[in-house]
Amino acid sequence: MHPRPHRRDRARSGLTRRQLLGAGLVAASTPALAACFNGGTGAAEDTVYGQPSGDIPDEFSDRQRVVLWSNWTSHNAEVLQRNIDAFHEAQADIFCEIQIFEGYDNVESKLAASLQAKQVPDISVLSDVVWNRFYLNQALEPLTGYFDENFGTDAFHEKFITEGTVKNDVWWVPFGRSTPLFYFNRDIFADVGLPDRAPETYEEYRDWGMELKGYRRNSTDVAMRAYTGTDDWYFQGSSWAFGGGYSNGLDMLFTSEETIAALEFDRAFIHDEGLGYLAADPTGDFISGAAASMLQSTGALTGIDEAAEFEYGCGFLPQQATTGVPTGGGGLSILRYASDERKQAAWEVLKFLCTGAASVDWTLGTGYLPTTKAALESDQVRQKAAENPNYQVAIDQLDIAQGPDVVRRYVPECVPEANGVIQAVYSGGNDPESALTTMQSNLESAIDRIRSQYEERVEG
Amino acid sequence: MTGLATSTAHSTPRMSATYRKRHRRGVALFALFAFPNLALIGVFAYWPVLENLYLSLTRWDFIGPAPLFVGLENYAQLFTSATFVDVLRITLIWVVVVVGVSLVLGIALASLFSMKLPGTTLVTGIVFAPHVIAGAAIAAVWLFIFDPNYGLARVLFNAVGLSSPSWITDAKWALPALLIVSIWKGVGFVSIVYLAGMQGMPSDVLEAARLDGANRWQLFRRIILPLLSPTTFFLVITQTIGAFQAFDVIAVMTGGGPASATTTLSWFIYDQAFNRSNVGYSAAAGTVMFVLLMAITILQFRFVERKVHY
Repeated sequence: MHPRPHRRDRARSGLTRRQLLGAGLVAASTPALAACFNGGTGAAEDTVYGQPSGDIPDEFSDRQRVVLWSNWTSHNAEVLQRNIDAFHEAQADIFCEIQIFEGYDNVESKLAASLQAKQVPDISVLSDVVWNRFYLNQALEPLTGYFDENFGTDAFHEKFITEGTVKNDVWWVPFGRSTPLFYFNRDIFADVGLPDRAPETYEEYRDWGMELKGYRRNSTDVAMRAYTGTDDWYFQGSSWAFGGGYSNGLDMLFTSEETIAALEFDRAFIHDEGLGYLAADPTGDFISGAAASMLQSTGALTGIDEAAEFEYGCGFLPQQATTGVPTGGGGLSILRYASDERKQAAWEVLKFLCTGAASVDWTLGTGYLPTTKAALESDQVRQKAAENPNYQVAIDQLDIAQGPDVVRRYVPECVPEANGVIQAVYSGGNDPESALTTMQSNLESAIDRIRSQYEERVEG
Repeated sequence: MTGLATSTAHSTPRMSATYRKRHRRGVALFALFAFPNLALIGVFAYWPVLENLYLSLTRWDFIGPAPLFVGLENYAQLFTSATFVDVLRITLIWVVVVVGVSLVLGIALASLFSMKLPGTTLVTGIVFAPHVIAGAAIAAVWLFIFDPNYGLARVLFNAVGLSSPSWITDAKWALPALLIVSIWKGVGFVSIVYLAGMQGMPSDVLEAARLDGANRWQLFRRIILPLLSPTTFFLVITQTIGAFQAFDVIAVMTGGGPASATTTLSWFIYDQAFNRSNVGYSAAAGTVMFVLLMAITILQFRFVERKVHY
């Protein structure tokens, strides 16, 4: 009988049989794993995926069920549900169930997971910088063929419908759309002797900030601007205003002199002149009077109206070399992998929400911009704009607004990278040129990853 | 003798058959009881690890129909990335500070609780409560506390003539802010586990040390601390794993920012997958975390356990 070798002796003698087998297994498993998981799930043109489960009330049990995934919660969710209830009253064939995932990002994650699970909703709310990725991956239904003479693409504001159109097909219908506005505390502006309007240029904004400097309220220094570090949307706008931008097609412009100048303006505004700061909650700070102004979405109008205990005003975003107003918000897309019956029913839901009283209720109830010409010209919207000039500002500014640059729309890494850069500059005072150069370099491989898809699906 | 030998020769195969039958029955019974658990562990623990390993060898954006096999490209990119080095640095700070401070504070609190001063039960409950409250809720409360304009921190700083830092939006203060919250949330659990360890100590040993003239510090240093070593060992392992996996507080309070100042490995994995749609890269980071945790646990068992007095 041979004595069992000591562990150390075995180690000296090289690989044991078990170790050798283990190593072989690991080596063999790599290609095997590739074959085991997920591989080859490319879907054919006529592939139909299942529908997410849910509850159908008894009174609608004989109707075609449509599932709508939405990001809106609380008040906006109530307005949307009210319109869906009206839809249920208006016809007897379709039941629409709203399933909510708070925030655009959560809807995006959930939708991506649903495609892998082969169980997709029929309609989904997607943000202006997300739907393009689902379009590139052929997950969306082209909607042009669904429009008819009663409800054509010309029903929508041209700027908005164009944003959802690629290669002459509509893929994303505008719904909860917005632009940023310049919000200012009129009481503070009056106290300091500033004009009762928004600054016309970023330079004027800085000059006014200098006049405000040292002004205190409730024993606290009031800053001119509370910046956000979680949304690069505003920087997309100011980069345009300074004559730069994110990209021209897929050619990046982050290191252009003008884009750097836009970020350098913000850096100097915060760190050299001490006129602004990076806020965890800019809206809260504006409402509490800690900041005299901010750039915020038109969608926040209703909330600020209710919360502000002072007179506030809205104006266009400042210009510099030119205008710089990005559109934002969400729209509705129908999923390609739903069955034809589900897609047709989904279209009926979408049509209802985007037309008639529902579209007016939605825009009045939420503060989002009217996306259809009919809603824009409706008596109720005109009346609201007359009563609340701030709302009229939002509508008027639409004429100079534009959709995001291509890289911001199609490259998933762009927004988080840009948020990291503005945080580094706003918080740490980092050099804008170096931060933007690093960002451009980081994004090169990300752009390369989508280049062929983009060239084929968008430019080809 | 012969008869016995004959009897043995006859009975051995019969016994062997009986033994085999019993053995088979035992195995079947074991399988019956163990299989549901093994199946759950297999599906929800080992399968995801294998799936993650596969994904780490691919490039995929979550939306596209099939991941593209790219071999070790993600790992190469990860190990040459300055950002990833920074993430590992922040993770190391996070783990060392959270585990270290929690253990020190936990044992100090447990020592206080073991004195059975008036109100100890109430204080113990208060200290333990954050452990059972959802991390997201705690984070939301601390966001208010840390607010430099109207938070409690502002009041405290103003009281001593200072202005509150911008805890969450200042890259220098964000990590300390999250560490404070994370330690505050976890120290109650550590102290309760230590308290249980102290209460289970043999009183005769403590009494003997006292009779031999040991003062409080000597008693703590020479008797209590060594006797608590199994508890410390357990806590070091569980707290280290927990610290590596910290997510909820980071997600709610800073989202890894500002400028990645609070991006630990767990947040990096989430951020890459769900914010940047870099599933393969994220999976590679996940595999690195898995290997790191396994290595740390093995090291702890190999070297730290030797110093544990059971």
